[in-house]
Amino acid sequence: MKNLIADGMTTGWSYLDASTFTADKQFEADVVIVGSGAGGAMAAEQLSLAGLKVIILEMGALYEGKDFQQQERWAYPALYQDGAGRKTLDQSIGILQGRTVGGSTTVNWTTSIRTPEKTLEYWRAEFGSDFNSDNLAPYFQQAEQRLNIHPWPVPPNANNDKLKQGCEALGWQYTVINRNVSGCANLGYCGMGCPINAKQSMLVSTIPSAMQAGAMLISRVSARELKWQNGQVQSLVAVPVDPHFQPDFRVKLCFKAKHYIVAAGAIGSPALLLRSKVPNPSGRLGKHTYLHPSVMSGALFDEVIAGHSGAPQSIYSDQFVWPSNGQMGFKLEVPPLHPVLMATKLTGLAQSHAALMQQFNQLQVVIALLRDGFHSDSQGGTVLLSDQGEPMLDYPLSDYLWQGVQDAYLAMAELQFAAGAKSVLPVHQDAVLYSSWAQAREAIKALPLQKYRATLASAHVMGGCNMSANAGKGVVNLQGRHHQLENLSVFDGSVLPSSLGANPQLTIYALVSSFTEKLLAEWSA
Amino acid sequence: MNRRQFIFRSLALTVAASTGYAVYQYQSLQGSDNAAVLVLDALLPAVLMGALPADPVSQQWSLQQSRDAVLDFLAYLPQHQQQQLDQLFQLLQQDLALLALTGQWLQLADLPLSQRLDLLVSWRDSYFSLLQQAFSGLRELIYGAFYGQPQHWLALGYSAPEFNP
Repeated sequence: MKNLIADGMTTGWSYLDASTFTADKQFEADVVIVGSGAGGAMAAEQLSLAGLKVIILEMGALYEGKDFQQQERWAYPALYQDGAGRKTLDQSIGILQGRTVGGSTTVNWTTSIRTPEKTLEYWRAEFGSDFNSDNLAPYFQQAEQRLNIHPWPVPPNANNDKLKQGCEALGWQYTVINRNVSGCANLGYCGMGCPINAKQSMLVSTIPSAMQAGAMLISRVSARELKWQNGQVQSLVAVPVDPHFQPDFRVKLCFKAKHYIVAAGAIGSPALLLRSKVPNPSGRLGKHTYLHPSVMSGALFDEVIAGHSGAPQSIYSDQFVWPSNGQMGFKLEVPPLHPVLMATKLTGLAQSHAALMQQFNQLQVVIALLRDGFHSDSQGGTVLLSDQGEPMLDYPLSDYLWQGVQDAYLAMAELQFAAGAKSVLPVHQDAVLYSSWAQAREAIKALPLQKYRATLASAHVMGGCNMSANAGKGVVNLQGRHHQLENLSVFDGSVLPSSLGANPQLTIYALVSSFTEKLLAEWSA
Repeated sequence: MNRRQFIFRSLALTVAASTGYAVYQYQSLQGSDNAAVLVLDALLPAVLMGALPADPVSQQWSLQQSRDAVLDFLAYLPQHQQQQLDQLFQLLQQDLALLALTGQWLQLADLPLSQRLDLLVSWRDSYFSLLQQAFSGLRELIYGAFYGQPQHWLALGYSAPEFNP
């Protein structure tokens, strides 16, 4: 097992840690890419292999295989935005988002799903998109091949198996998950960085490949402002970050390029564009940010579940993603169960919390990811800037969403009892452990649907720079190009015009591959 | 909480602390320049009831480690959130001080754990969204800090592999 990038550096790969800079610096390249996650790194590889001089900027630090410690107290501050403590403005939704070289692909749970056709259909109808399952298929295939995405052949761990058993008992749809792994040892620590380079994140695939082809990687750097005039970006101003990843304005870095690609994630990208006061005639910049707001349901089983061990996600159910009654649909999955993640999300206080934690290995948890953005009462959140220029996401919770939350609690409890749970706990401040489906059903219907009572979390941030054929209804066009600034692209989850109803990494890989291909075609013409 | 609510609460606290003895103690409790430490030291033993090791020495060690882990973590939050938390700790310090006063306890440390828990629950169920946020935010910080430490995993039957010790 190697640290690919560290080893590559000994053969001359170009890597800089901006936090070591003591004086202002200037850089020039063909393309500067802000962000090294699913979008930025995918583009970086294709552009570098085409012979372009590429610089990749990443706000997080460079950690790889041998650096990863399988402890949440190390991983969260080191690898996640705000130490995994990122929240919406009113603190009602917790957001898990990567902030490290490789972005969220370094810490995600490897679930790889093609964009649902119904989502693409919605984009075609509402945003003039021309994407469909057929014309995206070559890009999906390319990413699936590149990242060894395939159905997980190993039996699911008990946490996932209960999801499967519940679906089987109830006759609900379920699917074995495709994962981007190669030589996976079924450890269960994907969320803390893969210690054996099995996860085919950007860290072990496109980034080393881009660097081998000459790309420069700069970590611990915060992109602050795009300077533009006459419809062209002139330069990018950035600063290093301190050991706690706070921008340090004492040193100024200036990047000049022919083209600028913003891929800082669906909170970071709109924030950079807002700070830069780029033209925004559609008024949609930083608006319509989607989260797949997720609720949880815990269940206690007699047998050992040990939900920390084994591939974190190997089964999902789409039984409720596209309900016919127009209500907000939701996808059922399970999370990995590690002590900090569970202790902070589970409800209860003092003895009741401790008692639940002492049954940690009997605990099974289902999550429901609500499909936001497909309804007039689900228009997402807004990225705002703090006095310091840092992003804050205001995400209002509508009655429409709360109805989806209640439906999700009901479905999860029914499923867990059908799988043999002896008790079920909807993760809500006013819920207790219920010992039968009938009891849980009545109790859930009476739970107050209010923020701070229901534990809400998100691991998928989407939108904020949405693509649209029509400049009046989007920030970028269907090639990810900014509608007003000619040499600016946005290549990440922020271009999505709605949520997906599926985990986003494969959608981002495919869209960005298509965007990059078109960019290269234009330049070679 | 908006400005008016904040002023109202501050006023209420001042009025409540209007006996001579009470004012003296109120001021001395107000005087701590590290509200975060005071609030965390008061709340940790209550929030972690049932989870802390039984023997007093390990318990004290656990509490200190958890408090320090919370304080270390705060630096990773964005500045605006750190500022909000600073204000919150000041406010909660007042709440705790008032509670100690009304019961005539000389030290915050003498305040019974059950009363500290009641206070937390009152924040959870408060009409003020700032206090609701305080409840969930502090709870999350404290449990995250406590269960992040491997010595607390024994009770869970959890262990983590060490590929890169």
